[in-house]
Formats: sequence, C-alpha cells, structure tokens
Amino acid sequence: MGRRAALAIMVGLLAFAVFAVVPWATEEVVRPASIPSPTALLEVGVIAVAPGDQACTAPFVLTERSARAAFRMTTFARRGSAVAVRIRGPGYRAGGRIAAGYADNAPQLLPIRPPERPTVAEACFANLGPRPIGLFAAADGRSNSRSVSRVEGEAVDGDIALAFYEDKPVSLVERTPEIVERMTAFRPDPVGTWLLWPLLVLVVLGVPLAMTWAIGAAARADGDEPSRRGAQP
Amino acid sequence: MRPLPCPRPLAALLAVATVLALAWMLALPALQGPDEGGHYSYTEKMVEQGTIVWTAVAGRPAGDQDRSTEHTIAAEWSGLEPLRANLAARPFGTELDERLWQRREAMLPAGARADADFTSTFRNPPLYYAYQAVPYSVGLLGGFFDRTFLMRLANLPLLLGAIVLTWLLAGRLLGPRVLPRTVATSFVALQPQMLQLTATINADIMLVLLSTAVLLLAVVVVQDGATKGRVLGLTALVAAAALAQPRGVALLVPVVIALALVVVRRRGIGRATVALGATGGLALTLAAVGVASAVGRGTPNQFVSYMWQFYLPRLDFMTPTIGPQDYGVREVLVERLWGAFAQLEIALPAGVADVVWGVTLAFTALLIALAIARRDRVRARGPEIAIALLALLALAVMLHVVAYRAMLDDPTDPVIAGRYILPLVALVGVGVALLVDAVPRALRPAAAGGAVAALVAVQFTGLGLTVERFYG
Repeated sequence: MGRRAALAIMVGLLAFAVFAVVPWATEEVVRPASIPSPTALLEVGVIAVAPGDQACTAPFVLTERSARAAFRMTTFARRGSAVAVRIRGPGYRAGGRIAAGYADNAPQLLPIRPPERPTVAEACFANLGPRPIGLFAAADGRSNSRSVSRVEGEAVDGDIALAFYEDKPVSLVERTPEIVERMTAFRPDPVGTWLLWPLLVLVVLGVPLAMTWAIGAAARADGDEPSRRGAQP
Repeated sequence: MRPLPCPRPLAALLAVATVLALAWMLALPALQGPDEGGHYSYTEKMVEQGTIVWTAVAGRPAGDQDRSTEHTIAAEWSGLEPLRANLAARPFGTELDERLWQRREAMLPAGARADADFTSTFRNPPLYYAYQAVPYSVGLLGGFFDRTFLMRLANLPLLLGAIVLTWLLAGRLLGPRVLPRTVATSFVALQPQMLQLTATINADIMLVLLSTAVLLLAVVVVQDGATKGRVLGLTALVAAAALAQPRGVALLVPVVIALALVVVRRRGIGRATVALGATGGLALTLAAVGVASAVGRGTPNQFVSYMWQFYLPRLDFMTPTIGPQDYGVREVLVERLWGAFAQLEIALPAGVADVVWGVTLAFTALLIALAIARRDRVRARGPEIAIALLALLALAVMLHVVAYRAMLDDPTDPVIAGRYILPLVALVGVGVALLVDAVPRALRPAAAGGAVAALVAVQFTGLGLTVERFYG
C-alpha cells in the first residue's frame, strides 16, 4: 500500500473524527421520542377550547421513551386557565395538570409516565378554567398528520401540535440502537436491523479503509510510491 | 470470452459508492428527497393508468389531485407528509406505526393508485420514468414502501455507471496513470449531493450518467475521429439526455463543438476561418440569449444585471436583482451543492460552508493559474478543453435563461439548485485530479490522500446530518 497516501488519509480522517465526529456524536441533548403532529411549517392555527370543554387528538403512537409531552397554548392574552391533560391507550393511562397562570404562547412540557411498549393512544386537553384557551395546531395541508383533532367530539380543521420527548439528554452514540431500529420502519421487509448494523460498520470503517487502500494502490501502481518489491522504473 | 478487467482502485470506488448509496437510501426516509413524491407520482400514473404523462404530448390533465389516494394515505400514516422540510417533525418509527398504516391501507378502494391528476413533474420528458416503471412494476408484488425503495435501488446502476464513465473520461483527459484517475473518480463517488440524488427518485441522476457518457464520447471523437457509430452514439445520447431531463439539451453544445473540431481537422480548415466561425457562433449565441431574455416581460438589461449580481457584488447604478437577493453563486456552489439535503432543510454548518467556499475559490484560482503556467499543454489539449468549457458554459447559460424566465413569473424561487451542476461533476473531478497531479511527485500521494480525506469528511458530514435530522 502507498504509505504516504494512506498516512495522509488516516491523519486527515483522524483529525476529522477527533475534532468533529466525536464532539457531535457524544453531545447529550434531549431528543424526541415520537412526534404525532409537528408544529406547522407554513401556517399556525389555533384550536380554541372553551371553559369546560376538551380537545382530543388521536390516534398516535407513544413509545417507551415518551416521557414528556410538549405542546403550546395561547391564552388569548389573558391569564392562562388550568388544563388537565389525559393520555389513554389500551392498558395505559397517564397525564397531568398545567396549573393556571402560565404565559401566553408559552411552550408546555408535561412529564408523563411512558408506556411499557409502543401503544396507540389518544391525548385530551380539558379546559378547567374560566377563560378559553387555544391549542397551537398545524393548519396547512402540508402538515396533515394521521391524527384527527376534535373538540367535544366534533372534528376540527388543523392538527393539534403534539410531541413527546425523552426524559434525559442522550448522545447519538447512546441512541444508535434506537436509530437503527427506527430506520427500518416503512421499509421493505428484508430491510431489518440485521442489514443496518453491518452497513453501519461498512460505512464507518469500510469506507475510510477502502478509500485508503484505493488511493494507496493507485499511487503504488503509478510508481509514485515504492512498492514492497521496490520502486518501479 | 474473458471479462473486462476492472482496475482495483475502481473496484474499490464502486464498492464504496454502493455502500454509501445504500446508507443514504436508509438515512433518507421515503419521499424526503427533492421533489421525490412528484417523481414517484409520474411513474405511478404512467403504469397504473397506462397513459402518456408528459404534458408536452398528453397536455395538462383536468383536476388538481397531485398524487394518488394510496400515496396520500401512505405519506400521512407514516408521518412522512408533515416531515417534508419541517425540522420539527420526525418520521414514525415503530412496528405499531406500520401496522396502523397497513390497516388503513387495507381499507383503500380499488383504483387508489390510479387517481392522481397532475403534478408539476409531469412536464418532464418520460425516459427516466419509463426506466423506473420496471422497479415500480416489480414492487406491485409488495406495498407502497416496497415500490419507493425498489425505485431508489434502481438508481444505483446509474450512479455506478457514472463512476465507471468518469474513470474512462479521466483516462482520456489525464492519461493512463492510475492515481489521477482514482482522485477524479473519487470525487464522483464521494460527492454527498450525488449520493443523496442516488437515494432519491429523481431524473437528475440519469442525466448525470448520460451527460458523463456524452462528454466521454465527445472526447473520444476529438481524439480518435468521428466514425459513423460514434456520431450516431452521440446523437442517441444527447437525445436520451434531453428525454431524461430537459436540461440535457445543453449537451448539444459540446457535441456540436466536438463534431465541428473533427471537421476542421479533417478538412484542414485554417485558423482564420475557425476564428471567424467561433466569433459567429458566439455572436449567434449572444443574440439567442438576448432574444430569449427579452421575450414577454423580460429585458436584456435586467437579464445582464441578474447575471452580474449572481456572480459579483451589485454595482451602485444597478437596481436590485430579480429574485431572492441573497441567492448567488455561493449559494448554488456551496449551500445547495454540498448541503441542502432532503428538501433543502438540512444545511451545512456555517463554518463548514465557509471552508467549502474558500476551497471552491482556491480550486478555481489554482486551476486558472495551472492553465497559464502550462499553456503549452493546454494548447495541445485545446479540443478537449473546449468541450469541457463549452459544456460548462452552455449549462450555465441555459440555467440562467430558464431561471430568469421563471423568476419573471415567480421571483421567490431562484430555480437553480446545486444538483443541476452535477451533470458535469466528472469534469470537476478531473479538475481536482489535475491540481493534485501538479504537486511535486514526492508530495503527490499525500496531496491525493488529503483531497480524498476531505471528500470522505464532507460525505460523512452530509450523511451524519441527515441521520441526525430524521432519527436523532
């Protein structure tokens, strides 16, 4: 192998790994567990919930990592009414309460008990206060999701923006098994983790090694580097 | 019959490209590539309705449903519809999500794949979609996501073909030595936008293959002469490129130049006549561009101003350019060529983009300096260089005219995307190899290694950012 070429690639990629890949892959952040309906890309809507009423959204899938429910409410520039959040699925109940007095348009992050396994669920937001609230929703067709939003049982336009996050910050390295698993969803049946793990190894190790070999072999073939049998004329 | 020998560095590059293409196909969820849903719909409608979809032949169909019911349900029930360009979204990722979609899909009525009306991709010519009809039809044995994945897989031979053709083109332009050819071909095998394009149902990857083939054959013609077979081959390739993507028409220019050069050489036409012909051709081209820019609401002045401001800072007396004010050559050659993955939402980190821009400028300056320093060799390679430069120029002029015309109607969309440059990616690879080859011999392997390491790093950056965006 052309040693100088190989060394150059190795040094370059080592520097890349140390200064870019490692900090990026080990940075710990709170990551989404599942996002049934994202915030709007183009047009934010508001689903108004009158005092005493409740708005629900379903169906969506909660995963065993879904530890915090994230949503956003407008108080219509008044004091925020208390809201009860109930999340239900087969054999699963969770929820909590947002106390009155929160700020207008403030993001809400409600800790919930994650299910033991992925579960189809419904989330309901009951307005317990004396003033209306508005749940942020995606109102553009581009953000149409699987979930249907209803107020007092009546379907409404827009999808309540709802996301679930993990309970603690994790790095990409720690999350790799989850990432590999998720990448197999909505793929042909033969595409499973059995394929992705070897592919990951091939990308991370195989590609740099193959490129190192290719450049080294090319340099040697041209006589730019001495071969093991000595330099070519 | 003995199989053709495949040089080992080329074999390694093909293996690397295959691994990376598969990784991109899995990193990029279905329908998330540029305009991927529209390209899928084209093939779907062609196969399911058994109709000619190309609006140039079939006209614009009535109705505005831009995709089939099956496509819509699959996109919504997998989370892939709200995912498009929305950084706040993630694809659904559990088996339970898949079962919910399958249950919903089982309720679809007959004809749910055949009820799309029209989407803008139907303006494209049909060659790529006819090619994709094969994996689509095989995928009918499975479900929607089997078909999208098989159609992506069908792009892999197009990528590998482009890599092999680059190897051959580099051999023609750089000589038989293996290291320069390996560096040039590495550029094509590792350029991240190339890999994303391979992982997307999109006609552009076929255009890359056909463009590289046209360039190679044009160079063969000027080096070895124009046989009947070669001329027919060039004609067929240009026609195929234009039928794969309208931008393929720009390839007519290098082809005409190649044939003209052969005629000049064969008939011993003198320099003065050639200069006169070249001047006439240039004048004709400028007149054509002037007319094209002046039709309707356009004006040559505004077009020239747009061109200037695309590449250079606006001068005091100029009015602001048509279209987005912050979109110029840097945005195309850096942000959109080396980044802007998925539906443009995955951007290169600012620091990386700055470095890539610096490298792009240095690359251009060094190439010019090299051409000046080695002008004797440039002169000897005049025909090949003319083909390369005119291919580049023709593509640039065509893109600008089309973009300008489009911006007269919709000034919010700059039209020119980074991937539109990729049909000439092999020439850029050859340029990189030329610079590496200009390094003193003792340092050449290290320079080649450094260039390839940088390419691998940028490739991993793009792939890593894409994985993080969708699954992190």
